[in-house]
Amino acid sequence: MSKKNPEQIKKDGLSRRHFLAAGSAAALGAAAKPSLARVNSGQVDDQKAPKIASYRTLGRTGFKVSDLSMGCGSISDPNVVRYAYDHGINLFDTAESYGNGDSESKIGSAMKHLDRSKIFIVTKQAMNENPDEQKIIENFNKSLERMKTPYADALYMHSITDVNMIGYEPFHSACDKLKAEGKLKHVGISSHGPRAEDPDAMDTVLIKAAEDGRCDVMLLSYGFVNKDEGERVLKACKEKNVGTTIMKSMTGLMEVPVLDVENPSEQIQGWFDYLEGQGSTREEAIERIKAHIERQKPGFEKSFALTKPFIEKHGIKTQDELDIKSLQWVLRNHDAHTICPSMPTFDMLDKFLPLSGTELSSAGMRFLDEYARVFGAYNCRFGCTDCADVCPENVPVSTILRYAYYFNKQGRQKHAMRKYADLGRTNASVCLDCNAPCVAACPQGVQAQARLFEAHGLLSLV
Amino acid sequence: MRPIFVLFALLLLLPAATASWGQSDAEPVELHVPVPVGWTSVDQEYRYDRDNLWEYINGAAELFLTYRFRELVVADFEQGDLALTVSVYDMGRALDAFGVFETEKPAKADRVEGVGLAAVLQPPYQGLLLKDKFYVKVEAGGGDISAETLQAAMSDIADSLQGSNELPPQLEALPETGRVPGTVAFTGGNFLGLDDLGNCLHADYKLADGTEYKLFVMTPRQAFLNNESGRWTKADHAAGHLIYRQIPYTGAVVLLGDETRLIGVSGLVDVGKSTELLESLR
Repeated sequence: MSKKNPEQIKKDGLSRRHFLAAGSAAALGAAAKPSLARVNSGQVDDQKAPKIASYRTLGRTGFKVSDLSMGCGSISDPNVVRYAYDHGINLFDTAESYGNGDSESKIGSAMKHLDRSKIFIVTKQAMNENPDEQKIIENFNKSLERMKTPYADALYMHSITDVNMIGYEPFHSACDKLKAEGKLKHVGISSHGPRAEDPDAMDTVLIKAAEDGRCDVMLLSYGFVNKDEGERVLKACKEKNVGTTIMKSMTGLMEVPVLDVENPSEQIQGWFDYLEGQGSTREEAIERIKAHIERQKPGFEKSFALTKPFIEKHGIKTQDELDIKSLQWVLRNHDAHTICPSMPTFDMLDKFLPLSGTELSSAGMRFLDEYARVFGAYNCRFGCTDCADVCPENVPVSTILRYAYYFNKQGRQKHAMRKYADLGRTNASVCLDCNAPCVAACPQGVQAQARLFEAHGLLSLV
Repeated sequence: MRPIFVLFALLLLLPAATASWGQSDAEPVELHVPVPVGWTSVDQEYRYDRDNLWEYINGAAELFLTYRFRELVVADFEQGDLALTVSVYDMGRALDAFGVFETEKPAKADRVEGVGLAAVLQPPYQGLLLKDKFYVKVEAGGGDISAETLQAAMSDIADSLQGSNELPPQLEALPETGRVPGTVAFTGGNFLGLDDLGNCLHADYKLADGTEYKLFVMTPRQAFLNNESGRWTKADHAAGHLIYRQIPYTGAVVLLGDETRLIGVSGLVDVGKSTELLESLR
């Protein structure tokens, strides 16, 4: 924490009486933050703020779209939209269901600061309840009202998982009418990717939509982990000149748990919270965590040894850096016209804006290719259920590995362990004496039995 | 059963914790969607938690996950050719349910009196209601449903849900003087467009001289007090912590308080004026 020196205090508009007289000289003399000379004007020093550096043509819409765009799923302040616009972002992706229209309202609140002709607004409607044409039009008009705009650049069918919905006639007839009234420019579609109960996978839906010809733009999941699926869609879009917007492109994680009692990592702190929440003393918790790490050490070390050379070569030190490299991996593919990560804060915009116009170096590409190669067989694709029917004990393989993912990669240890406990006896404890038909059934070559052993140790803290 | 599993089971069955600021109200009862009088269930209930909420509401899940959302239970009902989909969100605390209700409530919706703590209707037709830690969406499907029929269903649902129809006590943390009516809200994450500001109770204020600003109250995480993000500046202060930074367009955001609670202000532009205001509120 930086403390303020007397000169800085004056610059910040604070009088000395705001501070403890007893404040230590050392504290007051500590290094100050960079100048805040314009602090009282309500302005921020924007000279060094990053801006969008690259624009690409969004397929046959012809619109030159910023290579980074804005996912508006959880915006709490309209000024964030304004800030994105002021820094060159010109595609805003929202939906009527985001905050029950609140996301669209936030865009509307910012609209007076935006040049409408210079931005591309996407909104979406769910087709779950098979709405008729009139309802689609009514809902769309409400979206326009909330966004304070006379037209939207695109209306997507939201999260389609069934190819039969691509030609859903009430949607297309509604769009035709809205286009004729000048309220809509383009039709689009989004699909999120494989989920266990989905009739059709993302690539099946979106390739079919590209071939169908009525969608000018689409939103798809694409990252170095689901490279093949995403690139099949991008190829189909390129052939039909369909505009592409990318979501869910930040994947992967590298960390080895290390017990630093005085300054525990977020992961270790989660373990402490769980154990102490159960009534363990600090000392007991330390011992159990130590034992747990020791048991898992060979697996952790093996994984880390595989990635360490690449981490060092490319200077990757944190999860943030891996996120950035992952985005740059997508940016290097110009068939992906824009990426729209969720950026609900000024801080996230400041973090990601500098990536515009950059691409992963060839060295970085090799790293991620190698990462995918090494961990491709390590990571279960959770939506896949190809192994579901082969287990003689009905162990929910992908579900357990998903819980391990929550534990390891999302820092949600307590939650993961509770979910695992809820499985009762159909857990991975029975896998030891099995000949593992799940391994043979896995199309990705995931060594499921070994992963299940690890997951059981991790999630049961035995 | 392994001992650890017994502990898990005990943990899940623990009675409600205190309802004080920053703590959750644990409930051991399994949540079901109440069946409105005169309506018939269609199909089974569907359940979603923090892990798979996106499977049901896609990107809309982002908002809920900034709050203490625990579980969503969805059920379909029919009455002749009318159809309803009822989504009951267990938001963990009454304060979080209040926050998401106020966020999702359409500005032009019609307020409905006497249903839960608060309820609104938006033709043609969506109904939203709030009761205790529950936020409920009632959406009409097929048929031409009347406002009266939908309101009656909402009333039945509200009456069947457990809990209080009183406002969360935490709302009293904000001073009343100068507060603009109808602006009290609770934001789970990214308040003021800042990564570090979550679980903020806030309201708009306007002084007699026309000065406008936002006041907010939050329970700070240690990581915030430690300025682990490096984005804030801290000065020593008799109150314990004086923390501030600049944000685009509105200027200074200033927080003052101790380890348990910070009160903050945004919109006064100047750090000094903001600090004086906060000191006057202590």
